Amino acid sequence: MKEFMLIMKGEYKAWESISADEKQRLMEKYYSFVNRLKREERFKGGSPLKHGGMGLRSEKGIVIVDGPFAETKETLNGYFIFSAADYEEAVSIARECPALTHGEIVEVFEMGSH
Amino acid sequence: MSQVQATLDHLFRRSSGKIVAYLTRFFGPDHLDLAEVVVQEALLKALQSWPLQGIPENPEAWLMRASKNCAIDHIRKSRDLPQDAEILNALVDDLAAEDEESKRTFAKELQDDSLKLLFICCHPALARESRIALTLKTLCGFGIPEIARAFLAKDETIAQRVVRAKQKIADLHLAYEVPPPEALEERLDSVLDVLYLMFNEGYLATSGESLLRRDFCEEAIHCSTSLAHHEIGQQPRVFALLALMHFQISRFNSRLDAQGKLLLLEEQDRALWDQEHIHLGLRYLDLSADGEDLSEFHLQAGIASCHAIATNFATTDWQRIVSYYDMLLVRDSSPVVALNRAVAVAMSEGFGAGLREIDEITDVAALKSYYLLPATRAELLRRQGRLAEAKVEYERALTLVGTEPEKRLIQKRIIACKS
Repeated sequence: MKEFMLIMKGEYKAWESISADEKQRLMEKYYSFVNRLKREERFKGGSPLKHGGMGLRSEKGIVIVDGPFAETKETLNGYFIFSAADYEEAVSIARECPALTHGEIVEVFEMGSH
Repeated sequence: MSQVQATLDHLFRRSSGKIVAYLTRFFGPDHLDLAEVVVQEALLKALQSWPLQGIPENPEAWLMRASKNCAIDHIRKSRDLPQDAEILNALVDDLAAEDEESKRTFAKELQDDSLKLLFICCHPALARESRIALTLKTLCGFGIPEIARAFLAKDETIAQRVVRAKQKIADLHLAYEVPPPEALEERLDSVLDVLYLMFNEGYLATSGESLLRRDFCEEAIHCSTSLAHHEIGQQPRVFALLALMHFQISRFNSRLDAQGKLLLLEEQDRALWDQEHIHLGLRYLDLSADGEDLSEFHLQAGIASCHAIATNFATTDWQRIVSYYDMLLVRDSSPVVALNRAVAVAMSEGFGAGLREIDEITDVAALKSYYLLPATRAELLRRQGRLAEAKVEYERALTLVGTEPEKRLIQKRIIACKS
């Protein structure tokens, strides 16, 4: 089994404005998604991410702290780490990620060195 | 998934109304917006953490605690609330007090808060259409787009109504209270009017999303029930309204056939009627009979009860229904009531008698564009075997009808008249 990281990007504002019933339905979908990963013993971790993160870059040897990124359209909303046999299986699991049902972008990476 | 849904049945929506009601105790009715923002933040926290940490044992208490924390954060960050320090201290104290004794009194206080919010949302000073929009949004936790979809209105229209209502509440500095005795009658009537409208909005219109519509009915029942269980709401007309709602909703699932065609009372499968609701209806009808008060809700509930307990259409106690309509007409000489009475007369005394009743109201201006007038005439003519005349009336009804299922029903009848 290999380990994969799934990241979810989207517009944070879109989440805030949906109704209470829709928020609950979304929570239930994520709950089922995570439970499936746990049931299949694939779940290795995950967390939502607070919006408004800080960016760091170095320019001519000076580290510049940039951000928060809340203004940019796409913010990183959260991640999951899970195991799968190969990319094909990882992608088929990622397809079920509820983030895709409300307009977020999902990216999957295999973890490890090149 | 299904297990989740069973335990969390509309938890987010229901809790949001309760928590807004609770927070308004601290923020005051002038700041309903802030209370709503805080609750939405707490729901978002639940959305993000429950999938990973599991659903807490007492989800509602979790949401309440998260909301209190969000509220404290908000007050610390923004300084534009009056008496900030005071509110903050009260909230912090309240958050700290989580012993058994405070939990007991808390449940009762929460019920009071929800009622206070209901009385604020339905305040007679607000425009009637704003009251229902504000109640659905703030107390029942529906989103603006959901309300707009149900009313077939634009989002902006509903949002405007809510904004105006909140502005009015702030302008008038309405007190957050269960109305004092001298104001109770008027305030209660306004609340009952909104709940009745909310129920009808969910029940009568057959366009739009049916699931959402049933939610409106259930919310109206939910609010009415809390009212009926509170000492100030234990009044005959409150019980009568609840009885009416239970009788009506018992038929909810039997009103459309598999193709979405509207079924008349006569065509409905009575085995689908929800006996639990009928039982509750009868119980509340019984409670409503205690005292002198005889409201329109009593009469409407009385009519609904005749249908609910009849084993079939023909053996319905039509005479009793006619007598209820007679009493309704005394109070409200509406031609719509008269039309309904005519149907009951037709069933108890014969189609000819019913048609004569209808002829008396045919020229009433208010009914000129009311499709049920020609549709009812047509129905009685058809039953008398006067098919050609019936067809003309059905065709007139078709030019006036609004919703698709009703259109289909009439088209079906026109075809039947030709054969």
